[in-house]
Amino acid sequence: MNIIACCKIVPEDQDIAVKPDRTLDLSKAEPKISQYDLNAIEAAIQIKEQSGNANVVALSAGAAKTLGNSKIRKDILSRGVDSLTLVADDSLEGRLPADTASVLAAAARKTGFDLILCGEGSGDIYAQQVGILLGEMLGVASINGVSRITAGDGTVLVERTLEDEIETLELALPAVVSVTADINTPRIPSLKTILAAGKKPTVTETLDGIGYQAPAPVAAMTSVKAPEQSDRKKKIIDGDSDADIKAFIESIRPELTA
Amino acid sequence: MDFQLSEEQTLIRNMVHEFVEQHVRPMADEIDRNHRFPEESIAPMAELGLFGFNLPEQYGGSGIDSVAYAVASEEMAKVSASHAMIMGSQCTLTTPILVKYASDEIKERIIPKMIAGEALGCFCLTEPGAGCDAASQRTSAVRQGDSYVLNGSKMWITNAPQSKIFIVFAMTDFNKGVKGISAFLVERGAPGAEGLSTGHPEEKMGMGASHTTEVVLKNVVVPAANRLGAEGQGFKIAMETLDGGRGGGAAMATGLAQAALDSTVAYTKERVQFGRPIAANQGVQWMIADMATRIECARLMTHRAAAAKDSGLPCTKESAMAKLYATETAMYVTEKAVQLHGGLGYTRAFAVERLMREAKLTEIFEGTSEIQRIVIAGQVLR
Repeated sequence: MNIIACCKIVPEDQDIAVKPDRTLDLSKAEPKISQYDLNAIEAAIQIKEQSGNANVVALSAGAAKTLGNSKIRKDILSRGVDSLTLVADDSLEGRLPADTASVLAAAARKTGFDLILCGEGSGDIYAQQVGILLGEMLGVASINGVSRITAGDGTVLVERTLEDEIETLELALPAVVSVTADINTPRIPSLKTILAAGKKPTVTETLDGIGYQAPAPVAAMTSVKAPEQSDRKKKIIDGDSDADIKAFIESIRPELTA
Repeated sequence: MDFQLSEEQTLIRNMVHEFVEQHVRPMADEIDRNHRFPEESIAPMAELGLFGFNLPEQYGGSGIDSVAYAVASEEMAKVSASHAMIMGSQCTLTTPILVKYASDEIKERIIPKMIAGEALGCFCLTEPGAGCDAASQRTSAVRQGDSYVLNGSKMWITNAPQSKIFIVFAMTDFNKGVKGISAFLVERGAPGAEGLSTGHPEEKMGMGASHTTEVVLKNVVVPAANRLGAEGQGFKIAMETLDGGRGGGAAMATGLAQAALDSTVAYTKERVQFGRPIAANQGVQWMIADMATRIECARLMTHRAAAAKDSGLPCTKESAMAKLYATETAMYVTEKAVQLHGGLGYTRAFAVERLMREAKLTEIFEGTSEIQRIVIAGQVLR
């Protein structure tokens, strides 16, 4: 079984600073693998361990200056995947989900696949759309919210944990599956896998090389800004009489109904 | 000259960071308070390869360098110095001796188990009457046919209660002074080793989760094949092992100091007194600047000593200097950190209280600061 685990390289969120004009300063934020995509990679590795004969390719699309970082490439490869395919082009920086999905779709078509795994959303914009869009663009079954996967013969059995039930579905492959953050605990790379990472194959593709044709834009990013901060009102209602409680409710009602 | 960590070293640091944050931080205070050995950490540490630093790949080691080990030890000590001790006792004090001096049969049988965490090892040099003065050994090893019979007792042995592998130093000839010391491998549970026992863990000021006990040897019979190196070579083996171990101690101290500084930076920026964060006061800023500068220096000295070791260059002086400076820095920084956390720093609300207790041990173990000065002076004055 050929499995593609999609992963996005995002800035380390703890090191993102907000500038006075509420735009973001990413200069100190090192690139890292999006946390949710580590779940997709781990799910792929577990399927490989279960079935014994799967090949796992990690696939990432992004700016060449980010994906050119060989430490981040080794980081991905140290997580247990067999190889890494990158679509590196500086025009891919900060793109919206539909664009990302169309690039991944072109790359997946070229690579070939039985199963594509995605995380539940990206660590930076967390739109939770790429997996669904990717399935749509590739014309294959696509499902999200998956909290368990069991590989079958030409199929996968997936579980989705819904509000009051667990839905179990059998999907015919090829398919695109987006996994939840609690499907697994991604393993920590070991000394051995870190040292072996540099010896695993990496293929760097160009947009032309995967036959990418940009779709008509459906949306555009106008700005990225941190939410406006307002000072706390520090309104204290001291007491526990009915009137105090009523005053408390009246105080929070406008916030809740706004 | 490149002061940057390599990509692999950086990834190893990140790996240990991930491990300690996920697995160790939740238990760090509890194991310290209860003096509980973190048995549940051994298998995951082994799985990550943390017992395989510097060891040949043929036995399951990673062959990775001492700088990477220093980076890992620092990262581990930031969260739990006890874990760094457990790793250090295995990686720097016991397995390297077996790799260099044991027979092929012993290496093939034991080293893979030690790397896999199935057998912990301990370094048994210190005695009640032979601490810094390691040459005053009273433990005896008497040759009887194809065996040696060991009698005596050892003190302050890290990991001893959990260990299966004991590297024991003993006198094969009391008339020859340091040249009469030899090294032996004693395997707990092996025939003849029934007389080996370990005592109750000492009630230490800090690093309670790393157990330190007495080891008693009563008519312990070991095969002559378990002698490590030649008769009389024991003191040299012990000293060269401690040269390596000192780098680990320095790295651990650097990690403790860094953790104390990180906590101090966060706290002094948040703690408001007289209408502004206390970090806005120049007096506080100068203390933080001194703390940060010393840590930087300690780390550079530690990495330099490790790099010298990896290059096969002499590193006795460099290791001793790094150990001396880093451990005194750890004490200096953690003491300042407690001070800057005020009353809370003296409670268990913040880790700085534990870090200060842990830092004190680093100035004592594997050669006190005074011994390091003797080693350094000996190298400088020769």
